[in-house]
Amino acid sequence: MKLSSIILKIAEKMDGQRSLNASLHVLRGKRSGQTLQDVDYFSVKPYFSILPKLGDSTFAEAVSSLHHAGMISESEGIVTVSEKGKRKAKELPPFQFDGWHYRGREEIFFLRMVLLVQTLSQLRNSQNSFHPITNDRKIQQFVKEVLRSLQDTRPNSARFFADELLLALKMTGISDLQAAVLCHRLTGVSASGWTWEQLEESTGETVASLQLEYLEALHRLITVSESTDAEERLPILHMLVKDIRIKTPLTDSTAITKKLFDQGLPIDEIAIVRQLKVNTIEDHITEIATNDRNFPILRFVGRDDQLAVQHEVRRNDVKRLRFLKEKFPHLSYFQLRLILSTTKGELV
Amino acid sequence: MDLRQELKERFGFNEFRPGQEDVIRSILKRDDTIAILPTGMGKSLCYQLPGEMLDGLVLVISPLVSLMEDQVASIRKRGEKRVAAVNSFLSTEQRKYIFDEIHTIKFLFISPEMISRPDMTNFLIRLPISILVVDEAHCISQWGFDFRPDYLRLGEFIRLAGKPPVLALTATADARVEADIISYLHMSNPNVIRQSLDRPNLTYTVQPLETEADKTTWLKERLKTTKGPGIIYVASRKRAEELTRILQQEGITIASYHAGKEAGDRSIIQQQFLTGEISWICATNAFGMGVHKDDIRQVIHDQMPASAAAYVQEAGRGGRDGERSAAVLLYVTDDEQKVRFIVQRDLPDEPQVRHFVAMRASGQSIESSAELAGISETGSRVVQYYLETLSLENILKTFTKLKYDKEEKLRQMIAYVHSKTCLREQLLSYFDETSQAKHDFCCSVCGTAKYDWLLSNERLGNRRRLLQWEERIRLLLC
Repeated sequence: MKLSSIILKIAEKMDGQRSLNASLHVLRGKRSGQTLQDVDYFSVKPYFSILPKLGDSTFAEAVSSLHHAGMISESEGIVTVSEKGKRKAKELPPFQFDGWHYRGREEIFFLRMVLLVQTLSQLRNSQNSFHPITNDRKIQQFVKEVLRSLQDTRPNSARFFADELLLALKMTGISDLQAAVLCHRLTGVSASGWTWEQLEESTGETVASLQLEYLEALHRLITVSESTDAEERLPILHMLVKDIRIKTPLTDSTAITKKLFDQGLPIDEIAIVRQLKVNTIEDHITEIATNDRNFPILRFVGRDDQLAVQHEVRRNDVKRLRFLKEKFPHLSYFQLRLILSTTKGELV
Repeated sequence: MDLRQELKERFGFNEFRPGQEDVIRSILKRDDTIAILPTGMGKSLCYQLPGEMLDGLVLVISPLVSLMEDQVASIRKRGEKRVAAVNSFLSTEQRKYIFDEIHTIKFLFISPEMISRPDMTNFLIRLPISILVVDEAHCISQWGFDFRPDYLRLGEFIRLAGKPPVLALTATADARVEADIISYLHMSNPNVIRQSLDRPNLTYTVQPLETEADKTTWLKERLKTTKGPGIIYVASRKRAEELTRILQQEGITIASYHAGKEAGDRSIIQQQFLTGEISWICATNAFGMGVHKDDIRQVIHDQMPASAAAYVQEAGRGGRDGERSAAVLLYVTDDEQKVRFIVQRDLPDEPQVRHFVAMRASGQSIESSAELAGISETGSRVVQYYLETLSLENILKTFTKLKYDKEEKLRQMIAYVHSKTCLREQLLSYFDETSQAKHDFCCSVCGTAKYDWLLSNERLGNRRRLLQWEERIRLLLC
């Protein structure tokens, strides 16, 4: 799986509307008002925050390969996807990430699973004392709880979990390569996990590509294990995915702002209380608006202005703020963003 | 008191290792104690056993998060669950949990920078501390090879905590480091228990070569014809990666290890090394502390470390099972300059210090002052500490002395590679020791560094084969 393919998918959605940097922000999961709004608008939530540590140069390299292939171009901060690029984007398989809901927390799930498998494997070989693969106390305690509940109900837990894993991986519909990568990152007695380089060497795929395959596979596995019928069919995995999906998509800081906002404090007062810049609070408010169907937008913009902007967006199919600002100079960028974030449902 | 009985009952060992019993007796008398025991000789038992016997909390100050976690893990592994670690990686919530449960904890590990935070100090000094353990105590001394400025603040904590018995642990400390430990930790007439650094089962070799490329060639040949498990210490992450790739192409099972690696990969590599799935690790000095592998047969240095103390520590990771192990140091003439550059990099010079002080005076933050003055992060912490206690002129004097001292340390290493007399004696002399007996397999200067015992024509590792995923699951669990 190539990073460039993912960028192409995102770029195609933002075609003519945003810069390529906007895709970088999405992949990194930038918590700015602009990015949070973009992911919603352009329906790229699945890609949000899948590569939090994506480096500038890695991104630039992938982008330049798309340039060279004649699939995208960028001028004046706007990306354009060529016909060739659009065709290619259509041909690509649909990616099945769910970055929006997992945001890096899939690693917690996986560590739980690794430690559980390691423990079951050790116990099966009657080795009660071993060096755990992770020293994270939270993970250790979690797995210990899971084991405790297993011992009450299942005599042969290792076997049972093996069957469950076999079933779950089939249910995900991931490729054999993806399943193999996932399983080789697991560790057991005389079968330690494999490093990324070792996987690269024996699959012939690059580390970067394998890590994307792994991530998508992990997201699929979590989704399958979360489902309501998983409670019966995949009971252990269902335990392991507990609290992985984020409950409120708001960032921590935004959640604090929301409390104050709900108490009716105006923005500048929130900024003083929180000792943050007004701009930051505005970003938070936009984030709240994006996630709340009943957002009281009338606290910020009149009904007439809302309708006028919505009309303009629909008529020209334009979501660029700069363009809208030219049309409605009396509205602030913040107001425009609020209108956009609260109306996307009605537009489609 | 029958300590052996306690040892047997609580840890299942029949015998103490050399030095342990003296240290434990000293601590049980509530005397301040300095224990200088070679790497791998069971330093942690020195506080674990008395800690179990005494009422109260054992507070262990430990410099590295990885080391801390590792020690917590090994204590838990022996069945003692009343143990926790506090460091800056914990969330506020996790930290609060530990504090709420502090009465259930026997061994608390903490980093030096955490312990000197006022809220933490206030909390901890109210607890009944039975032993205050300072692990890797040489870090307190700027004469040590691993100076950590945060350690200097421990003295204040010890004073506030009402001077509980202090146990300072280290593998290496010459007279000056020892004096620093005593003075900075406010120790009163401590018992100093020192075990010889001489490791009879290690054989020392210096291998002079012409060029960097020769080193690679030499390593290729060596690893193809001799056995592991072994560690190759290199000076940079880049070299670790490159060398690993080259050696892999020769069919050697080896992985690189350094602080830049992903956490998951790091624990996988440690595990593969422990189980023997890979024979070699090519690492920066980030690898070592807390690696429990007793049967390491070779430790090869691609480049000399900055001091004899560091070399003794790293080479000493070989042969902990008491069986023979080879310590080899590769050397080309350029190495001196390279190491000198690395060593002096963290010590700011006079214009830099003056610039830093001026920036601070004009209200800049520590970070930006350091950046503007071109001082490394470690360097800035050192300067900042001294600024609180010394005048500018005295700081500059101290730094001149430090620079001189680091150069001295390096000269010891350089003298070692050029030594015309026994390498073992040479190394020991830096710690005011002499060898206890003549060894049969001593060193390359004595002409007894034979390594025919290492020769191995074992078939090199097979290429790893990826299993079908179903097969892999069955291998793990069925």
